[in-house]
Amino acid sequence: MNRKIVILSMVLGLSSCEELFFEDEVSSTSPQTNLDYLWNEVDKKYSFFEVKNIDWEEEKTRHEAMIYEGMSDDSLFQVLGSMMTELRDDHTNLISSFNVSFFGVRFNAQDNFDFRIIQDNYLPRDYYISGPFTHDFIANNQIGYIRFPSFTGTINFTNLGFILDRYKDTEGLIFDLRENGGGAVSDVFALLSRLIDEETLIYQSRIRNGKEHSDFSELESAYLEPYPGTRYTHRPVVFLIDRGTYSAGSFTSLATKAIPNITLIGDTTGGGLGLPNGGQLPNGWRYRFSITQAFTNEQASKLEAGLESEVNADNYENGVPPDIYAIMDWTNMDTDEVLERAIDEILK
Amino acid sequence: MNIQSIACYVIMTLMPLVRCYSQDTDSLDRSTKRSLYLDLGLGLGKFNYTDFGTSPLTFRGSSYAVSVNGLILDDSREIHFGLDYISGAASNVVRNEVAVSQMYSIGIHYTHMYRIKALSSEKWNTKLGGQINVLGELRYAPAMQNADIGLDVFANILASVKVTRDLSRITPKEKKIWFIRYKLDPRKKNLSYQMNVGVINHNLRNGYAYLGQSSVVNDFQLFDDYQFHTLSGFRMSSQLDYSYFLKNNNALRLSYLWDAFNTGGDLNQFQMAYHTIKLALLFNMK
Repeated sequence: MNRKIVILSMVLGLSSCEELFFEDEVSSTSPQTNLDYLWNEVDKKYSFFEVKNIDWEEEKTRHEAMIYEGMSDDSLFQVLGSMMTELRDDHTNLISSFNVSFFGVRFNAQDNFDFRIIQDNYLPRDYYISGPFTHDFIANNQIGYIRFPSFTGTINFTNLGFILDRYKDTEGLIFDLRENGGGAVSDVFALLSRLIDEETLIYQSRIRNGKEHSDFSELESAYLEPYPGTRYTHRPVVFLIDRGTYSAGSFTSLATKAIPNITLIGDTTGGGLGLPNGGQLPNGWRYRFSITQAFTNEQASKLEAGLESEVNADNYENGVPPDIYAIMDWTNMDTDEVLERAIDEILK
Repeated sequence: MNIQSIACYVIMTLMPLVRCYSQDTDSLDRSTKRSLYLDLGLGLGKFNYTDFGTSPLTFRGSSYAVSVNGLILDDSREIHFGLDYISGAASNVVRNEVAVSQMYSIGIHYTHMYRIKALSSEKWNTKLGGQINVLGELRYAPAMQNADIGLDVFANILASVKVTRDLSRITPKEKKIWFIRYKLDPRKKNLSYQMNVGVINHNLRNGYAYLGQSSVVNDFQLFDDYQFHTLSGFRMSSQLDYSYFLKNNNALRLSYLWDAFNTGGDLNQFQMAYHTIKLALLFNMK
């Protein structure tokens, strides 16, 4: 009987020997371990070191000096969050159960949007809401105004088809993307496919693929196909942007550079032209940061010509510039100067 | 991998070669007596995985398993083939930080083994052979944000050894518990243990940055920026079975299964292990 128990124990023991060829889990609340892990992950994969001229080694030295064994979680979060903030990128966050770090690029410029001014002075009280869009006629019914506050991934052929059909006889359309923090990039293509008549190369993108900060894949092209149903391509379209227009909002703005009948009006966007990935630290906190870069077709041509430093110096990760610069005058709370500029542009 | 596991790996890899010198010569005569079973199993278990591409922490959880297998066997030869589905929920916890994930996996396998006469007797039967195993495994961990979906494919060729001990009751037995007498009829039973060790290990896994950019360039691809790694990683599995045959030649089988595998390389490594207790009904189809 004893022999059977011994054999059975050996069999079961052998069956649980995964530790023999598994790497050890790195679960740790040690400040040094977590700083090292986070720094390394960013160092290996972040995509904008050279664009933003960031000395990541120096940031490690500086932040390492602020940590010590036994420091509180809140203090450690402040240090690690500060290190991430040095990337000057709102696709970069450190996330714990008690705090989220962020950069806040929109605070680097004046506020340029207050929807209440538009509701009070431009839209009728019974304005329409179709999916993620809030809209109605403005400027004596000559223009369709469409507020799009977030890329929720819910744009569909019904709500956009309804809008484009409703405003088909207008002199132009205004899509208000100010303070649109982004979201599902699929919405970018769903929206813009209604505003073109032929297949269009809208931008190009590359992904970090090696340990050196300059290691990237070949450029990949983003093509846009015209939607087969209702479209709006016969009249001018304006996109309103500001520093709060970020991520998918910036991708949309970038793409408009390749679509002739769309004009960007407002302030430079916040950027966010890198796809953020995500992960977890040894202490369970989470992080995200960008791993790709996106370029206009013109910038992509320069890259292929070897003009990397020229493109880096003028990279739209630091913000997609408007075609027409316009900002709010906050001494007049009855007028949206950015919207007024767009109306003028359409009706000129 | 330490010395013991390397030694284990080498021994198990070489063992199938023995078959060339020890296969039964009368196996053809026995083919007509070979049994064919449909094996339908349900199981419960636990699993753990670490995807170093997104987290250094191990997710641990419980799972359920469903399997459909075909078995063709007699004393001299044994063939298994079938499909396994395992699903479960897992989590990792460090202080107040909790991350959860869902896991789904589908595996197909084919095993072919022959009896080794030199290592067998009337009561013991040792078989050697090999297994082909392909496993697709999907995880959803929302805490990883855009990297929330992990999808990996493992393709392995494994060396297999199975030892079976015949525990059949040949003659009826009278038993008594206190004052209750009862009779045990002759019954076919056996206990077996099978171990499989990876010889050739491949995997299909995320590339350098873990995420691809296909969604950004309006060309979504499921395996965007994936890389096929040949001869990378390791796999090992085992199965302890107690089989109890019924009067109608069907059988009940209680099993403990263990399956562990990892990927090689120094970036984005992945490792996973399943432990499953399974009850199966074996329907005699012949």
